[in-house]
Amino acid sequence: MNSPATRGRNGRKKRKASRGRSRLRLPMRYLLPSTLLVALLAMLMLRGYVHSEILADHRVRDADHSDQVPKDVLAGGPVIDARSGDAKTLRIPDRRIVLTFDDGPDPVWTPKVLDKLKEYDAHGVFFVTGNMAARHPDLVRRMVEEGHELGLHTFNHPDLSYQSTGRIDWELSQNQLALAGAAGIRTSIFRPPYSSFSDAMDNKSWPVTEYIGSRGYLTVVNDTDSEDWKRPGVRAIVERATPKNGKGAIILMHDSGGDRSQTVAALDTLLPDLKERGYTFTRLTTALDSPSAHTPVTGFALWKGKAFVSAVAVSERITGVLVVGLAVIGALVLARFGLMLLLSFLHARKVRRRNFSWGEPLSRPVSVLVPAYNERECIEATVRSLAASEHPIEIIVIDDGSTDGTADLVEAMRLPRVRVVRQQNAGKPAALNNGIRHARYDIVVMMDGDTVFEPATVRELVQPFADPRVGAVAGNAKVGNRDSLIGAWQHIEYVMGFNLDRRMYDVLGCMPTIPGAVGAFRREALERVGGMSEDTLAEDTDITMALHRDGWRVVYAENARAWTEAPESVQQLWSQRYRWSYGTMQAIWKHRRAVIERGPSGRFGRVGLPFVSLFMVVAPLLAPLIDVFLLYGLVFGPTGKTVAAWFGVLVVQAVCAAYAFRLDRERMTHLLSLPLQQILYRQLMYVVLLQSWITALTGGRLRWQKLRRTGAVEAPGGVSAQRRGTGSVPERRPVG
Amino acid sequence: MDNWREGKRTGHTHEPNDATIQLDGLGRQLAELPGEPAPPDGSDGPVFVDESGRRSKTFRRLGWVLATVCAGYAVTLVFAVLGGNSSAPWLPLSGPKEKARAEQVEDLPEPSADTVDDGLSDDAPEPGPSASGSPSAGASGDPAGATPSATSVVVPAGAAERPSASASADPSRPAGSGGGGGGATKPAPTTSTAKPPVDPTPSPEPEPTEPTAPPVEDPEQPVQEESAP
Repeated sequence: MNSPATRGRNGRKKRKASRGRSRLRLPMRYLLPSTLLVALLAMLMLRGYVHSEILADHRVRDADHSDQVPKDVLAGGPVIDARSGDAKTLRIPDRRIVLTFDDGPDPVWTPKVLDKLKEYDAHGVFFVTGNMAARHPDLVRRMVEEGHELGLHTFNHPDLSYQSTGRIDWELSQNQLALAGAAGIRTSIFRPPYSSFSDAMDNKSWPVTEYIGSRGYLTVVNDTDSEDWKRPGVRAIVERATPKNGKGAIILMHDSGGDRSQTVAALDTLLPDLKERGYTFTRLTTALDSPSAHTPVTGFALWKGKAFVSAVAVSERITGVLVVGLAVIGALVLARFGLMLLLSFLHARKVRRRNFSWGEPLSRPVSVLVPAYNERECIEATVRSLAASEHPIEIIVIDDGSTDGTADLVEAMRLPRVRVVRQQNAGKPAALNNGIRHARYDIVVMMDGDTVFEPATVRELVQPFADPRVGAVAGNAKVGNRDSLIGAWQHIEYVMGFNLDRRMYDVLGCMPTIPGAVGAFRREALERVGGMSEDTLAEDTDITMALHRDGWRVVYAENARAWTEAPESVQQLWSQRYRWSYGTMQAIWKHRRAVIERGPSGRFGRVGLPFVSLFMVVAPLLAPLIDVFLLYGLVFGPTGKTVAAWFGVLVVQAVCAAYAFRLDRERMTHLLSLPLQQILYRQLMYVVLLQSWITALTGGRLRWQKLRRTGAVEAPGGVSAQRRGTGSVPERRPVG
Repeated sequence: MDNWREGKRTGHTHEPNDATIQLDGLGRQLAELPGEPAPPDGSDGPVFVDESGRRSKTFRRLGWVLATVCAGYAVTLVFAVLGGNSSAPWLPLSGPKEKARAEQVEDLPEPSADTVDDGLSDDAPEPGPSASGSPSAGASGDPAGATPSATSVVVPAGAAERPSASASADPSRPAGSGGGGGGATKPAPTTSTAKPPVDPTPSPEPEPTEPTAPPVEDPEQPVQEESAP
């Protein structure tokens, strides 16, 4: 038999064998997501690095005394040669102008500047920062191709007087790396960030210049400051940039760092005017009659540079896509929260109206099916709670080949309305189908062997069937063991899920699943869709979707409370949720044809299926990204804003949870564990979903893993007294 | 199956005093109903499960590729960002006014190979304008360099003629300052890349500033040339 429910005494043996087999598979299943995560983190950090979010230093030093700066330098020209011990300076000869542009390349302004220079056949020097060069290598290449000169301006533009020599070395080498990757060259000229004239050298900036000189660079400051970054107007820029009396000059301008339209416009005037007056615009080294400052890069250094620049490009593109994707999903999730609140409110208002009714009150007897497999601990409580039901019922316990005497236990109770059906171990869907066959009445209530009903549960559950369009009703499952941390988290989840999600789905007519713990079906509807199917691990979801496609209404009965025992250990929770998420994916895929069908099936397929798919199966895949971005923001990014955003989301969730608790009249104290739930529980859920995806994609088989029952749940009042009377069920001891 | 009640029939209760016969909804005796559950009809087997394992193999392969790419990315990045050489290739600086006329002659003959610098041709005009004061003259000089422009490598402008070598040579070389040092340290004076001999014009005049210098283009300096690192 193809049943995935291979429970039974073979289960343990099979599990061991499979573990041996699956040991080979295990690494890939966890290895791939881990490496993806590492790569993602690397990409994010690289992005932060080249956007000056990581390791950027924005301090600028005030001017200091200059008694320690050599007089020659202070009185000298703008090109400082400190490469040998003896610092010299050079001036630009007459009638030559060296236009220098700092902080580029900029994707908007640099092309315009380059165009202008080309138009007037002028050359200049671009002191590029490494991070911008890494992000726009094409512009750097263009600068070189069109004959301009490149100089270093550090990688991240820090004030070097604050930095150690190690940091200075790093800035220089990274800047060279970017240039090597972008244009295949290495340069020998350098301009420090926040530089000015030679006579502005002071005791703090001079040692930096000396050190840079010792590394072989020429430090190039300027002697004519256009002050274009202040945006004083085109005419002012031109005036300040014009040298006097035919002297040579190094002019400081900027092609990045803001709106440089005035700079571009100023070039339009400056270049032709000065050319007419006999000036030439050249590279620095040409003005000094020296060889070019560029050196070609080959071999390993070139490869390293190219690798770096490509890595930056990849990182920019991918993180850009991820940020957009996350923003879209975030907006959708917030919209869903809003929709949930609104529709829950509307649903609650509708069903709680004084004169609300489903139709004629239903009083005919119904059948209750209790499929059980090795439920020795809980079955007595379950059956007794049913026996106390106020509504006339017949109780059918279907024993799915239990090995611990569950069936005998039930029979020994000798309760009047209880029947035991035994079958060979075949799985829950088969058990339920068997029960349906044995059921006498036309309404069938399905529950689990460890669920405990209240006396009013069945009555509340079946009232909606007075409306002939209703094919199935979902009850209100409650977590009994809610005082442990993990129980509290599930309690919050259930309360929100039942009070917000289900009400919303009821109104929208697309409830994806009826809880296996408490649900009722019209027998006719079940037979029409062919009964419970074994195609998926989530037969409850499967049957509900099939009912929708057949045109039946599926509603939520808030007062039909059932008490269930939620898994208490992480392993049990893991297997339960694995089954649920994998089963849901199976059911969605099985019913995918509904998307293109007509009629009620089409309506479900086009509204319900996408809604469920998006929020239960697709969006949660991106949930790890939230945590990655959160970590990144905490460590590197705008910490304050990141924390504020996280708290904002938490507040939204808390508001929704509080409303759900209010609707169900639950005590709010359990909400205290909500923040912790966001930190630990959420992660478990998306890891489970990821594993489900992997299993679904690779076509592997899953084992149905059984929850360990401890018999620790009881409905408030009533049943518990009877149970204690028998005294045969141990409290909270796991099955051996 | 652990059925310790011998002869028990399924679907039958064990009430010894129960005289009633259980019937199902259709009036059949429950005792006669088959105890075996029948599988539901029309089932194609579990969704997603691929018994042949083919899909699993494909995805595993894909997974290994992806994992390798990601790991490679992270490792490359770490290597690129850590470590690096912060030194600058030596740039011999002669300074604009130091060249002696004499040198110009010397430089002429060597056909050297290297590099031509696209841009340089442009500069050629410099001397021109200064001399004649006509900027345009210079501009025309462009083509001179031939320079293929750009091709990517910007070569150290090295003066067109440089014989590589020897470097040592030419005491007359102005480059003076760097000269000796340059040869010694960095880049060997030899041409790093073979470049088409440039300069057609070459012309002799290295001399830029002199007002008298002919407008011809003179892109390069006789100075030492930079070779690639």
